[in-house]
This record gives sequence, structure tokens and C-alpha cells, in this order.
Amino acid sequence: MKERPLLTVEDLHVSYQGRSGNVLALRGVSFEVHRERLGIVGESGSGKSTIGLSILRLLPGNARVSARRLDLEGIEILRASERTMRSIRGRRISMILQDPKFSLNPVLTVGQQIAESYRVHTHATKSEANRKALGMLEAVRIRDPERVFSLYPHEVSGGMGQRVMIAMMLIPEPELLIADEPTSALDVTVQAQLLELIDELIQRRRMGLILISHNMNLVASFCDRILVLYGGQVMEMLNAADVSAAQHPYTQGLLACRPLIERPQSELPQLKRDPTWLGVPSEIGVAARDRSL
Amino acid sequence: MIEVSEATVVYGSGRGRLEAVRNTSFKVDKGEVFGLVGESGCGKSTLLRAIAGLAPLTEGRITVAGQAIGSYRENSDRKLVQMVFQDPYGSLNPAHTVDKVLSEPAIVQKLRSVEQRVDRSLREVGLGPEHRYRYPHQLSGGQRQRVAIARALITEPTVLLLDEPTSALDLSVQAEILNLLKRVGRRRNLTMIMVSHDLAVISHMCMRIAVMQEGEIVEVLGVDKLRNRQATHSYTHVLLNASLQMEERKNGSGS
Repeated sequence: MKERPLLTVEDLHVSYQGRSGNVLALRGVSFEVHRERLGIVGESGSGKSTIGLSILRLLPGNARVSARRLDLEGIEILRASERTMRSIRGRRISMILQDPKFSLNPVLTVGQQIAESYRVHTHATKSEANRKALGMLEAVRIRDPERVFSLYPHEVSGGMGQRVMIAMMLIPEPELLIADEPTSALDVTVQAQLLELIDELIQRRRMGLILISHNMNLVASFCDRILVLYGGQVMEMLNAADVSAAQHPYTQGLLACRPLIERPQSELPQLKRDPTWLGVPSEIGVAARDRSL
Repeated sequence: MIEVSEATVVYGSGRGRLEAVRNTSFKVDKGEVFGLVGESGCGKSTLLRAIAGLAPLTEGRITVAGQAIGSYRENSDRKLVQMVFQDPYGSLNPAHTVDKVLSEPAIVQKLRSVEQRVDRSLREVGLGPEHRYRYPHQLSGGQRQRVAIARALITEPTVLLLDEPTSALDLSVQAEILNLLKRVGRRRNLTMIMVSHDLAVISHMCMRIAVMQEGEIVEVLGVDKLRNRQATHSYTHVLLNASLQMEERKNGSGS
């Protein structure tokens, strides 16, 4: 029998209210996450980051959210109390964002921040938490963890900052990690190492991963399944192994547009976006197209 | 067209002294597209800024079309070298319309028929008259970068310097911008130097590539040599392997 999903999302709608009217960010998105690696791919404005924020109920005040189900193993997230949400955020679902520079507190040492993230969710003493934080720095393969423990965020490189973020997010042992463009701000040499690290840690801990990115090739190589998002709608859901056989023209376009070192071509194939994919009144389709142009 | 000889750029002094670029030399021919690649902090952007005259040379000499950078240059020399920056959000004045952004360099350069020039350069980068009176916040990232390219082209430069022009954009939009740059470069026979940390982008655009590490150029090689794994420096191999690994990594056993 199939195991029960960690997270079930059914018919998720999100709109942002602005002065010039509503912007529909998500229009009926449904998917499940098991203890697997799920990739969410789409261009800027496709709504992919909105999905991550909806799951943690961290959307800004002008967002209107509705869903038939948004369910974390029996907890209905949209109806949960703020107290329940606090016990979910970080403890059961954690999130890594693109740039560690903006996610770390500049006036606390990185060690203090990792230890704090443990103490918030456990009854550990300070020294226990510090010991655990040191172990976690080692787990994210930071050489000389004692020295790094007492550094401030501005004293560490981007790659190391992201390792610190991973340590901080994994120390309460969550079941699901949402990584929103975790390596886009980093050098290629560091990107590969970090993704391997995330991969290894979540596999060893039997966690679920949602990897959000605009880079189809990257997601295809690190995830089990891929959800392709355009204009706030799911274009297709496919197994990463079958990605080269993707049917949807949008998926094919996202795959083809990237330059490859070993396959020189004089012009790159450009993605042709078609509002009829959205199957909605044309003015919304046009708005989605204009945003992503 | 461009000649960099023994160029060194030093920031700060005393204990804060940092040699961002150390003793670098290379030449770029007319019409050539030349790439500078390396990791963050290797000095590639500083070197590009030095060529644009935006970072003072501590030692060495850079000439563009026979004119030494750093000495006094006439306005008419300045218009020959234009630059496109990484962040299209930060490089356009948010209070200026596209029209103003594009007109200004033309007016400063005392060019004639500014109206038509603005119109023409907008069309050249694939934007229409409907974009002309918009503000930057009313444009997408890709459209903003098109405006930045139009602004660089309006003075009819012979040299275009590109500092990570697509790294803030989606891959799908990157493809459009790279195609655009290639097309205008060819049409206008521009000499271009492109800085990027992305070896795939550099090898798509450039004919020759300089690999930088810790302020120095460790190797200059043709793009074919790079593709055929004929690089001689070990660091070039490190960069190449990391990039290929990201392209090729096959899915693991799965869970």
C-alpha cells in the first residue's frame, strides 16, 4: 500500500490584492509530497515561491489564500491556530531561501543562531544546544566548526553562509525541507557541493524535500518528481527520470533554453509562451505572459 | 582594439590593502567577443571596471582604440565604450522613464535626432513604443535588461562591456538576452568583453576566454580548446568539471 503523504495540497488558490486590482498568483494547484524529493520549476512570476510561503502560512497580509485541502499529516494548515503553526514552522517544515545574507541575523554569531533554532523547539540547555550546533556544523562539512561557531554572518562566504542556513534548518529535525533557489546566489563550484550535501542529509534523515528553482536541468538532476508551474497553474507533473521525454511545450522550452558547454549552438532556442495553456479568460493569460516576458 | 598590459588594481591600504587585480595582460581584437570567467571575488568585475575607467589602475596600462584609460578623455572617446551591468533593478533610475533613460546619453553626447534614435534603439532590443514612457518598476527583469542594452547602444559604441548581464534573470529570459546580444554584436561588429561566473554562458558567447583566480589570469584559451578539454591550468579543469557536473549529474538511486 502506498504510504500516506507528508503533505497534501488540493486546489490551492492565492491572490495578492493591490491598488490596481488583484493579481492571481496560484490558480488551483494540487500535489502531494511524500518522503521524496519534489522539484517545483517555473519562471519568475509563475507562483513557485508563493507555494512555499503558503505551506508555512507566511504570505504577506494582502494575500488571500484558499484551498480544498492544505494538510500536513492530518493538520489542516489553513485552519490551524497560530500556536500550532509555530510548532510546525522550523520544527516539522523548515525553509531555506536564496541568499543567506538576508536570512541570517547580522548581530548574532552563526553558532548562536543554530543553537537558538534548536532551543526554540526543545527543552535543551544552552550547553547542550551549543554542543548540538557544533555537531551540526560538522554535519554540513564545515572544517574547523569551533572557529566558525563564533563568526558573524558577514565574516563567512556565501557558500558557508548557506551551509550555516542548512545546519540551522535541519537541527530541529524537521520532516520536510523547502529549499527556494538555495544555490542561485552561489558560484558553480559551490552549487554542486551544496546540493549534494542537502541531498545526502535529507536522504539519511528520510525527509521530504521541495526544491524550488527556475533551472529545469538542476531540478531534474536532484529530484524524484517535478511539478512544472506556469502562470500559477500546474502544466505537468513528471518523473525526473522521464524529463527528456516531457510532453508539454513549456517544459520542453525550459529544458532547451539553457546553453551547454559541450553542445555549441549559434542561437539558443527561445521559449514561446502560450496563454491558452492556462485555459482561462484571455486578459489573465495576457497579464501572465507580460509579466514573464 | 583593447590592450591590457600588466594591469594591477589595489583597493585600500595598510592592513586593509587588497590586490583585486594583479599584473594582468591580454589583447582583444576588433569584433572579438572575449570572456572573463572565475568565482566571486576573483577580480573579474574589477578588471572590467578598470577597462571602463571606473576602477583606477594602480599599475600597468589599458588602451581602448589606442586611447589610454585613466588619462583625460574627450566626450567623443567616452561614447565608444559602453557597459551593461548585472542588476537591471539597480542600474536604471527608478524615477526616470525609459524615454529619459535612453535620451540622456544621447543628449550628453550632443547627438542629433534624439527622438528617432530612442525609437530605433528600443526597436533594436525588441521593445515597442508602448514601453517608451514606462518606469522601470513597470517592466519585467528581462525588459529592464533590454532597456539597459538599448541605453548602451544609443551612443553607437564600438566596445560593449558586459558584467554578468544575465545572472539575475531566469534561464528562459537569459536565452532571449544572450540571443539579442549576439545579434546586435554581429550586426554592429562590436568588440565585447563579457564577465560571468557561468562557464556555459561564457562559452556560448565568447571566442576566447580568460580564466581568473585570486586576481590573476591563470589561462587564456579559445573556446574550442575548452570544449575539447585541452585547458592547461588545473583551475580551469576545476571550473569546467563543476559546470559539467551541474549539466550532467544523473539522477541518483532515488528514495
